[in-house]
Amino acid sequence: MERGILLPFKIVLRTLLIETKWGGMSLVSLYLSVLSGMVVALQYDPTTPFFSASSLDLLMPYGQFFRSCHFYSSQLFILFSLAHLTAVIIEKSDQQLNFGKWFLLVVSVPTALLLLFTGYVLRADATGEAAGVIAENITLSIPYLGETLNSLLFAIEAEGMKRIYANHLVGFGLVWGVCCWDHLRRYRVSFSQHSLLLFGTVALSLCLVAPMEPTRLGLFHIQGPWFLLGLQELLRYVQPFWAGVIFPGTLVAALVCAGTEFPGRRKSLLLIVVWLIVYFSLSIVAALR
Amino acid sequence: MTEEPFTRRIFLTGSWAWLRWVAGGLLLYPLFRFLGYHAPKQPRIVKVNKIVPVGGFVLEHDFVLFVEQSGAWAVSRKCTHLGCRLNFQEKEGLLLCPCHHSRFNKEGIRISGPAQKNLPRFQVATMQEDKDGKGYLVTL
Repeated sequence: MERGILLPFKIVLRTLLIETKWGGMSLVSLYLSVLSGMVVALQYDPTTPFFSASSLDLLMPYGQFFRSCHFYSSQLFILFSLAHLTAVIIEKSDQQLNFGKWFLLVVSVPTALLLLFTGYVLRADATGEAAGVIAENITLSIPYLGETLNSLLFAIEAEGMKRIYANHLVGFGLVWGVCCWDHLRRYRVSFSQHSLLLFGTVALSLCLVAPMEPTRLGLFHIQGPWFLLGLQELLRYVQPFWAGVIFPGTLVAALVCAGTEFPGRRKSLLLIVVWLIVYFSLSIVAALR
Repeated sequence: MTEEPFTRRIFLTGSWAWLRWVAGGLLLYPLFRFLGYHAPKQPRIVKVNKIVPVGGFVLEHDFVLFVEQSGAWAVSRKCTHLGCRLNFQEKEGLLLCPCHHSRFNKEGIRISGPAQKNLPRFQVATMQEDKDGKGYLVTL
């Protein structure tokens, strides 16, 4: 009986997940993110990051709108990409790709998250500043490669926002583009196919200002970006290298292996589900602090 | 199909190709050494242009300056866990990390939390009244 009630619900949920054009929505959000990002970059100055970011909000005509548009479209890009990835795995479409192509597509996910993350850091408010130094210290905790990787990706302590800005603007975008090149050559999406989403994002940016938390006296708790809350909590108990490199790396490795054939795929999917449950629980604990 | 005999010419051509790869690889060594070197930072002196009463403190961007009967001292505001900027809880007399909640006392000694090391302390010199006015010089 219970199964009979739940079955239509499961079918609707499955259809919603698989039939929705998450990939197209993700790409349109990316278009908007890139366009609004280019506008923001024309006024943003990495030598005085917080002053520059807050000037966008407080002084520049429509600066708040463009920053919000960049923020929300980037968030949507990530959310839709993750939904797209989930739908692909459930639909078993990944089995149609060869391992190399699937590997590149999986690598594009952490790259896109790094793109989003560096956006938070460039804001240089309390959240951004803390997120930046944490990322730098986690990278430095990697044995042998830490120093080189840090000087390539972040180097905030030594260089300020210079390198992280270059990577946000070009580096990570280039890596993402290389990873998705073959995929995007085959799937073309135009703005007109998702005009509702486009108008919705613009309307959201007009109504809701993107977050900004100035550093101030008596700030005793900083909550990281939503997608890093679980990591923030884990860093309380586990060494930075294990929490910040090995733990997320496990998910990436499991996603890569999910593209292989049975029985590797089954084990990987189980690991992904367990990982997500753990991470979600940690995020809830962090959010409640 | 017969295999081509391994002649001196083939050996030399192959060796020359390998040698070029090795030479290219060797060039990476000075590059990594160059990039990996960190020149020591020049000490930076920060002037605090005010007299802090005994029992008081001043919160600057990089340090907190405390003044007690025994003298003045400054501790870093950079958490030894992952580098977040600490804030001073005046009521409890503790420095608290807003990211992962490590706690340190006014002397910079770790009390609790994921940080394992104490906070660095900086040298403080008290400026007597002169042309620069009264205050403190903190060497970072």
